[in-house]
This record gives sequence, structure tokens and C-alpha cells, in this order.
Amino acid sequence: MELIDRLFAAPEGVNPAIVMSERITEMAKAGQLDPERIHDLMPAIETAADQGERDLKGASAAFSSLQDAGAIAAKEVPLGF
Amino acid sequence: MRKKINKSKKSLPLEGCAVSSLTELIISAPAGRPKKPKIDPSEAALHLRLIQHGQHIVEMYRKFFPEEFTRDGIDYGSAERLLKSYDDFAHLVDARLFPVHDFSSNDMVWEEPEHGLDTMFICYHQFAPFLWYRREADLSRVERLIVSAAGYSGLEMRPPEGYRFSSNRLQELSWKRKGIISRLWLVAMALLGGTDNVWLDLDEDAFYQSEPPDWSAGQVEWLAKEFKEAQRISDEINEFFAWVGNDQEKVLQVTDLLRKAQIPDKPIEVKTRRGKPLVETLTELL
Repeated sequence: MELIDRLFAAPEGVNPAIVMSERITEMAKAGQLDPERIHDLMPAIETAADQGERDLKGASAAFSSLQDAGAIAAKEVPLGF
Repeated sequence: MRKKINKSKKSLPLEGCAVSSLTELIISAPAGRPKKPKIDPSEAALHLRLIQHGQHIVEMYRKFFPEEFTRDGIDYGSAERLLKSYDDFAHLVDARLFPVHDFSSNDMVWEEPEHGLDTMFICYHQFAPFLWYRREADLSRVERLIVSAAGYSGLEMRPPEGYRFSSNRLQELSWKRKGIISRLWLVAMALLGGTDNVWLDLDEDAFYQSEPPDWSAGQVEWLAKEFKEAQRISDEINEFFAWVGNDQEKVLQVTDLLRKAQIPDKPIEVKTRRGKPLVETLTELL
């Protein structure tokens, strides 16, 4: 499968690190966080950080591939030309 | 074994070693740049990593400064706010225990949060205040005499041919004397880097060649104890210099002790039971 097809086929979603970070921020705002609570959340935080970094690397790699890809002439004339 | 860390040679703030560069970063952000409405993934990951790898900082904060910890707590709200809480702890260590840089002063915390929060950057501007080679041009007369007597620099009291400086002998002689002159050995050790106190003997170069300490309760306790001891020794040394001043008679007392601490540099001759030198007996046997 070509990179573009893979990108189109990929499911939509938010980076897990963002989800967890925002959840923690909300909990902190609501005064629901202390070191003990953080300790309980630690496995979920570690997992979210790992997955978030993995997704970030994947996105960076895809972005670099797209940026470095050679130009291909379009088969149709774009509108306005 | 810990991973060897490449220490950043970035120049760290000279005064109040715990100046937060985070504040500087925020202030120096380009004006007019639109603020991102949403958190970006790398910032979110940093936020989580700072939480994950900063638990020992939280524990030390609670252990060493319970009042401040109860009052201020830890702000987990964002990466920046969490780092500020960690910096608050470092500032307390800097103000009350020993000079150390805060976490955000070091680039490593942004690039590798695990190592940035684990590696302590003690303030080398405070190192070795008496070491002679760090301030050779500013040495007082008595300091020059000590350095010269030890054979390092200057000819005034350089040991004669066949003689060497013995710090053990100087210690013995100094401790036999009464009053402030008895501190001469301690003063000499501080100048020559032989006090066995990390804050008095370690210079910037040695610091960069060695493994930095970890942020752990044990290291904090040990460095705090050493720093307190270094301050006590420094006070004693400064009292010694104030006592000597430019008093010729006192300078002569110092000179006399230094001269007596220069002993003949003869190899020790060990004899066997038969009375022959050990070297001779060994040569025969071989």
C-alpha cells in the first residue's frame, strides 16, 4: 500500500499523550491531584507517554517522507489554469 | 551502572545558582507570536514524562521541606508549572543546604527528562575558594609562602635539593602549637586541595571530568553535610588570614613551621634480620 493510501486509511484519533495530559490538567484544576493520586495514575501515564511518543515518531516519519517525496505531475489540470 | 551523561557546557548563571531560566524563556519569547490554542503532542509527552520521572523530586521535597511542601504542593497542571514546582524545591536546596542549579537551567530536562531530573548540577562557581592555582595572581604573602614551600610555585621557600614538603609533618608541627597558628596545616591543605572536602578540593575541571551526582536523598544529605563542614573550615581559614595580616612576627612563625615541614627526601632503608638492606638481600636471592 502506498504511503498516501495508508494515511487515508489510518483511523482518526488524538495523540494519547495529549488526552492524558489534558485529563491531568483538568484534574489539577479541579484540585483532584496530589502525589498519591499521581502514583495511582502512574501506569496509565507511562502507557500514554509511550504511545504518544510512538505516534509522534510515526507522524514525524510520515511527514518527512511526504516532504522529501519527488514531485509527480498531475493527470488533470488544476482548476483555474 | 548509570548511563554516562554528556554534560552541557552551557554557561550557568553565576549568582543565585537557582535562577529559573524558564521565566527567562517565557519573557524572551518572540513578541506577537500567536499562542497555540491546543497543546502539541511533544509538549504533552514532556508533561507526562516530567510526572513519571519526577517522583523522587516530590519525595525529597516532602522529606526535606515538609512545611513548604504542605503549603505550596506540586502543580501538575502543565509541563511548565510542574517544572516550576521542581525548581521551587531546587531553590530551597540552594538557599538552605548547598549551592545547586535548578532543573530548568539545564537543557537536558527538555531533551531527556529522565536524565534532566536525575542529574544534579551543583554550582561550580562555589567550588574550591582557596585553591592556589585558581587565583595565583591574588595570593597573599602567606599564601605564596605556603605554595612555594610545597614546591609548586615561586622560589621564596622552595624545598632545597634533596628535601621535600611533608604535609604530615606540617600537620604534626601545627597541631603541637597553641592558638590560631595551629590552623596552618588546614590552611595549607585548602590552598593545595587536600582537605578531603568536596567543596574545597574540587575545581571546575575536575567537576566536568567526573560523573555528576544523582538527585537522591542520600546525595542531598551528604552534599549538605559537606557544605556545612566547608563553611566551618572556610571560617577558620579566614580567621587565620585575619590573624596573620601583615604582622612580620606571625609571618616568621609561619615560615618557621613551613621550613620544618620540609624533610630530607631519602628513600626508607628497610633492613633484614641479618642487618643487610632488604634490597641487597632480594638482589642476592634473585
